[in-house]
Amino acid sequence: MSRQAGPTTEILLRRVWEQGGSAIAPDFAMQTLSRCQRIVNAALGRVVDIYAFPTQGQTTIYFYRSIITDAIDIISVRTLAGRTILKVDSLEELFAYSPTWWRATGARLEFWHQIARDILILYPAHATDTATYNIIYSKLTTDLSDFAAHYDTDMELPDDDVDLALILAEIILLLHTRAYDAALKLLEKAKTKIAPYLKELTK
Amino acid sequence: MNRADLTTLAASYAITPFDADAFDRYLEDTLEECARYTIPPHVNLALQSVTAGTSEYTPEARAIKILAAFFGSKQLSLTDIPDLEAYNDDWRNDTDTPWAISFDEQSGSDYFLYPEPNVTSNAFIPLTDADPFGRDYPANNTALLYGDKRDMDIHDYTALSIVLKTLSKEFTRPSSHRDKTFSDGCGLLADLIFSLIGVTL
Repeated sequence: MSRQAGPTTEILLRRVWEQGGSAIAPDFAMQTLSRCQRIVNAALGRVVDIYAFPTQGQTTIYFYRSIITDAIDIISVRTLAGRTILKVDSLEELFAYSPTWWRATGARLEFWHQIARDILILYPAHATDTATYNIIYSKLTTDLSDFAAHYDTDMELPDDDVDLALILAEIILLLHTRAYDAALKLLEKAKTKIAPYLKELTK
Repeated sequence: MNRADLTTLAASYAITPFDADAFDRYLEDTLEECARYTIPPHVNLALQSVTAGTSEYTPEARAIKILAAFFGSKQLSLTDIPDLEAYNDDWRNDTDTPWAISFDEQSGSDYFLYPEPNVTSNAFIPLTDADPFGRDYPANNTALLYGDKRDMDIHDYTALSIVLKTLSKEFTRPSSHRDKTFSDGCGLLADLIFSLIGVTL
């Protein structure tokens, strides 16, 4: 069962209070938790969605967030028939494969690559026609800005990952309320807590 | 998010007093610093026209670190002057379609193309729905992929790290409200979040 935003924010408020932080408005605490939920999902890609992505003839480069407006990272690209397209890990790989990759055309999509969180490369482009591919992506989670309105809204991250969002939010609020000793101790704890996630990210 | 949103966000997380003007000056530095990262938070691709007989170019100011460059249908090889000298003693007088780019003997993000272009770019005509990197790609243009120092469209999940990093600078400078512990905490947390979301120095 998912945690709800309101009770999770109350846990955050209580933890900050107990560690010597001063009182914080519930709206502000929930907004901080919401930002941290987005950060954790940007890191771990737990909350995902799928989008039927239209391509253009002769185009290998797409500013994908102008098309999928709630996308963070591309996780997978598939044809409508279900074929999974291979991901290449770097521009160097594409360059080694073909120095003319960026204007190349062909009948069958072979690779995809993402640069930062702005550009999606689909190689090769179709010569003239358009096509559609299913893109699975990690998404921006809901902006939780109003404690009363979002009290019953589910946190979108799985329970285990909500804990990480809570820790990040707690550090920020402890710093904000000058509870420095508690904030710095928690920062050390966060580094330990985050270490396995960093390993997961580099797999 | 845009730059003004970052300042608003900073004001909400800073301890008081908060100097928004000083923050904005340091924000400029942070945005530039982030665009230089190995994996920058924001990238952009932009056309740059060339002129026959001119090899040296200055990209737009927001292009802080060029990650790749293209000319015509090719991705340009990154080269340096010793390599070019080994390739041809008289390389400075070579003219043709460029196939390499170098930053040697240049300042900032300035670069030169090798060989020196023997053509001048066709203009890009910005019609509605025109696709400058697709079917409407104008002939003989350079396209630059770069770490982007942007003021608009800053990713929501990156904003907090940028703000914390900047607060760290603002609260460590000599001032009436200097607070080294707050500054250190913000800096450490910013680095932690950047490493978590895969933005690396």
